[in-house]
Amino acid sequence: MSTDEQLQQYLDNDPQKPINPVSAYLTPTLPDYLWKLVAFEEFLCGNQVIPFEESRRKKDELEAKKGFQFGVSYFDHRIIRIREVLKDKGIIKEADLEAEVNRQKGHYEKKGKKVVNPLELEVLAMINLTLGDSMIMSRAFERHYEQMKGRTPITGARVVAKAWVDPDFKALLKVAPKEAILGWDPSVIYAKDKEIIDPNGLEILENTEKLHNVCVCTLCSCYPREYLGEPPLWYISKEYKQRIINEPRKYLADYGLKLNDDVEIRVYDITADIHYMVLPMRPKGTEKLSEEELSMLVTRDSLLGAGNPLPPDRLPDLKKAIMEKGNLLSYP
Amino acid sequence: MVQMREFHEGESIRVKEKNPIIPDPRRTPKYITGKVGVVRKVIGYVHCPPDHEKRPPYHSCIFDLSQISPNATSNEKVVLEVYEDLMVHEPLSNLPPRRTR
Repeated sequence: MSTDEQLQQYLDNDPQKPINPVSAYLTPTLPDYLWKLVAFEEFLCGNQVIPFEESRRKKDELEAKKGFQFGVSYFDHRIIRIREVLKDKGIIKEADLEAEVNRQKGHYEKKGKKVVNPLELEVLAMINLTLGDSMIMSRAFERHYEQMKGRTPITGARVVAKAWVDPDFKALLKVAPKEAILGWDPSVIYAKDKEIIDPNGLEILENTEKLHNVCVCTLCSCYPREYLGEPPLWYISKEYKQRIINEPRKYLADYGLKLNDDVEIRVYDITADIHYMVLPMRPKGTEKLSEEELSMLVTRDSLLGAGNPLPPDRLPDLKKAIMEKGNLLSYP
Repeated sequence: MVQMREFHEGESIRVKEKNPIIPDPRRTPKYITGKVGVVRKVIGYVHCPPDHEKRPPYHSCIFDLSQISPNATSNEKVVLEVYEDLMVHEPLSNLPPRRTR
């Protein structure tokens, strides 16, 4: 079974299409080992063990090989890429990796867990081999991993709900997003991210009745991760990257967001330096709702411009689902 | 210190082609080279990844998608960041005709 099929099990509510009418509080998350992989990659790049460019170069090298790209999913690609870079640098050796994978397999058998994707074991083995010897490194990695898992679209949803309720906050948000958010409630962003985010680093795009904003990264998967977590599968897909530039109105209409011809569509191609987040229009009939209730109506897709917030009549179902899942209680 | 800028908001520009001989890893998608756009916002120097400090200032520019794709209408735009050294001034007469409301 490939990672893609496995992801489908986890992401029941997340098919590879943009219009996904699920609240940001209920957005399904990735399996645990993929979170570890993402955190591991960021950790290595952040600590200058592997410069970011090197894994990019490896990607190009691998893609140039005939037949490699075919049938390898996005996350499998990332796992193989890091493994090859680590091997080239001499940080891990082939024999050590195999032994560690077998050890991990034994652990899984003892606990009675099933191995869904063989690369899952490789991720755990790579982390153990590179960081396991050093107490300081592994502690720092664990902390980073916790922070990574804490980044969810809830942050974006809360910011949007606050902007709908408070016009002063909205005015400041459009000019200086970082100052506005930290001045309101610093707990929405994690401590480490506060240092990373550049004042230039985020711009909030307001949707109006005559203007609709959409975000894309045509090159890789640049994404406002501090506010929305890891990107969904459709955002990474080649179909989205190509069609949103070539025929945005038709593409959005195909997936359920019909816009009139007099509405201007602006597609923002995100770079690594400047990120964009969409401030969707407030749904009609929500005048009496509180800020917390409003934030439940915001979906991740609406924060990227690929959808609209949910209508207020979905609220009772949503509240029930959120209470059952416990996402609201375990926040942040 | 006052910084003199070559490009300002609202000016029309054309994106130059990169030098084919000197390797340039900076991000400029191929589909935008040679296209005419308007400066939406001057962003300036970016310090976020430390190595980006050495790069020229960024400008956020807006382009008509109808230049890029035959399927797009004039009411669809794309916004991108372009480095200053990849931009040239474009005389207004070469702009596509303005949309009437």
